[in-house]
Amino acid sequence: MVDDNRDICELIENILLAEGYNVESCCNPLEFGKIIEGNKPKLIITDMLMSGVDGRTLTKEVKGNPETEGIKIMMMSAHPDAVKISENVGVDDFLSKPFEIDDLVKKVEKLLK
Amino acid sequence: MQENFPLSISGLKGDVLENLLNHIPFGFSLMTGDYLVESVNDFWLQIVQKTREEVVGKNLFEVFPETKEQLSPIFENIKTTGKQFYAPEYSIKMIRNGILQDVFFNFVYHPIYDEDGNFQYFATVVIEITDLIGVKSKIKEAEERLRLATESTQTATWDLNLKTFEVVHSPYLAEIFGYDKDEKILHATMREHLVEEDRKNVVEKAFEKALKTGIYQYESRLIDKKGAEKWIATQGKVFFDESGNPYRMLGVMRDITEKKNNEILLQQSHHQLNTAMDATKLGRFDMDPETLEKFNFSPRFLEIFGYDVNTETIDSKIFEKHIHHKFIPIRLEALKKAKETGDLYYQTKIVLRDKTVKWIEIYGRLMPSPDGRKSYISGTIRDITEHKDFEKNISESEKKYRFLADSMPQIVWIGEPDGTLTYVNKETLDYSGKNYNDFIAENGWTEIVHPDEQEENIRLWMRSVKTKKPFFFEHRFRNKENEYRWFMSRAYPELDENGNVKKWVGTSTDIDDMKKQEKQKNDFIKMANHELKTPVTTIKGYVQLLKKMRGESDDKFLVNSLNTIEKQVNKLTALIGDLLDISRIESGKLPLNKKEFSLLELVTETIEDIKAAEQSHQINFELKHTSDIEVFADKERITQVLNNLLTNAIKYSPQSDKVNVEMYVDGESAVVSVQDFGIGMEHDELTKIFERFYRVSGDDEETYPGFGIGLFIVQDILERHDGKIWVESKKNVGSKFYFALPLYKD
Repeated sequence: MVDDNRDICELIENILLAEGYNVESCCNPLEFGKIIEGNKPKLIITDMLMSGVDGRTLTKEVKGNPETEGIKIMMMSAHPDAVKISENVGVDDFLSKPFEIDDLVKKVEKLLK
Repeated sequence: MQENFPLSISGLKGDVLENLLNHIPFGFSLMTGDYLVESVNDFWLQIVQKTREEVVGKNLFEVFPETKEQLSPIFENIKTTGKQFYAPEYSIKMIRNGILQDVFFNFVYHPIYDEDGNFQYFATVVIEITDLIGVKSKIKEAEERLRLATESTQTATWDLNLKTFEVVHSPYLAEIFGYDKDEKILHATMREHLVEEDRKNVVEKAFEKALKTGIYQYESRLIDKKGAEKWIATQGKVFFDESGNPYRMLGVMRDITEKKNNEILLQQSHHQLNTAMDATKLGRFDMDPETLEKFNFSPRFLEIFGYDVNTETIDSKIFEKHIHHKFIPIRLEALKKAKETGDLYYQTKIVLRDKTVKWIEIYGRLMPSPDGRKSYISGTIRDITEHKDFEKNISESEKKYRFLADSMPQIVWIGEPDGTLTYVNKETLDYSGKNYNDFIAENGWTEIVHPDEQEENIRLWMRSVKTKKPFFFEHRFRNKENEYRWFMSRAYPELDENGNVKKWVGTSTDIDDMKKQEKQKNDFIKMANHELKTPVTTIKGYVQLLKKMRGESDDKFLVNSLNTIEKQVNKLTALIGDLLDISRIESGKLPLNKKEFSLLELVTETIEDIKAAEQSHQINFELKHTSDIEVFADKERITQVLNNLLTNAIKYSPQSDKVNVEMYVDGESAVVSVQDFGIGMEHDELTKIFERFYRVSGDDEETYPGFGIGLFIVQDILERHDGKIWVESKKNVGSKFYFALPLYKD
């Protein structure tokens, strides 16, 4: 889970933990690379607009790297046009903020099948 | 003429007979079977123009050899058949006064038998009727001439018996009345065809007059058998008997429909001409082309020269009296020309008696006189004072206009109907750093337009030029420091009476600062939207988590509180969304993601969602269509529309407990209506509610929550879908909102 907003990171962590998933949060996007190396996740949920790092760039990096291209990516954003924008980058799903936690859970389930 | 001839004359005494025979007014002769003339009377001699000595005792055919061929077979026949020969209008060629003529007789040749039945004599009774024949043939000729005359002049004839009212008429009369030419019409029928008004006022009166004076004359309308209206002219003469009573009337009748119509048309065109003359305020006059004398001045003529039509008159010297001295030579020149060519034209100033000065224009044409009298010049005069002043004013006002345009800090330009620029003001040149010629030459203005806007600029400008509709466009112009600034350009066409463009007048206003501010505002709103949504996401997330984890709790208060918080969070989200939308609508950037979907499904789902959130009202849905209704639209936005209408319906009817939703198809559109039974609206509010920021208020200035931008957004969404939204409402009764979307077509 990548978001520069700590509260949101924690929220999503809590939601997914309650569903029985293993979640690791990254509230500093710059450290993202390190965390990935350590423990390759099956799904990355990332915010689109973060200070310093753009979720799209992150997506491109992950998908562009042969080692990590298999990882599923879900983009999150409050931005209204974000759906279109993220489609172009190659994300696997999109979640608009604010969201229904049922929606989040369903999407995560689907992506991790 | 039938003669009753006594078959036996033997009963009469000889000399009595002789006497008788000599005094009867017809020729009588007795001839033997061998054609020897026994006895003739004087009359007979007169007819044949012979003397007694020449004839009596002689063979008839010796005296009249030329008659042998014709007469001998007749006599022989009489001898054999014993029947008399009656030949009326019998012609015999005879020599009279040395000339062989056709002489016409009424003959009776009668065989006379003696007591024993033997043939004794031929008795002949003759009367010459050459004159009568002549008269008869003259009558025939006259009749024929009359017939020809009446046929060629399309004149019908009639002969009316004034006692019995039987009428004999020519075939053409039947045709006038619309019947076949062989049909015979009764006098009463003819009367019936006359137009009622004319029959009473014209014809019957003329008839009465005719019986007294002998002359019958009238013009009247009739409706013929086929229903056509015609005009006829009738003339007749009454014949009186010896006692002075009218017994017969003879007359003619003509179809004068065309003539009458022409008369009416002529009158009308005269009237029109006069009206036209009045309307153009032309004065009229006539002029003798040789002596240059003027006469026949129309009232308008006097008016132009400042004379009172009712009390004053003018004479031929009118021009000399009033012409402005500077124009005397011009006038003389024009008059000279008029003498030569027959055309008169000049403009001049005249000075009226009260010293006012006017401009007039004179036109004159040589008219050939219709009846051979000498030709004259028909002239018109027009007061062109205003016109002349106007011309002067125009050039003055043009100067003022240029001055104004140059002192304005706006860019001002003028274009031709085809779109090329012919004028830019000083500010334009100062701003762009270009010179006038560069600008005007070959669409030089496009050069300073930012490349991103150039194409659209030219396209829209050409479209305006073609459609003659005003031009609006926001674009960037490069200034002399090579920086681009935003301008709002507007151009309006100046049209002439026929609707063609005389010229384009355009201005461009510097809106760069405004544009920058707007961008800042929009950027701010986008950011605010993002910033606001972040905490909202967190709140919502945790509330939902809590509900999940503690939702089954016995603590009712907890559960209800959580539900309340979630509802409010959703409302907050919606409000934030509206805020963002409105800024995007204004900058024209509201994106639509259209696809085909079932409107029915969307409506039912949305209603379900609302029902779950708001339990205060019962939402009834009725589908008035037999099948599914599909549209091609942005599903989320249409959901937004329906949500907005439903929440409004609930919001604005707090005292009611139901909302009705209907869906149907109207022509090419799908229509959904949402009806509430709440506070309703006044008639004048109905259009205002779609305005941005407008909010309806209830009694006691109670206000209802919301930014007042919902309907503004809804209208924009529908317009962008080529749909419509409208409302019916009555104060304190309720409102019914309708929206329509085009049906999806394969």
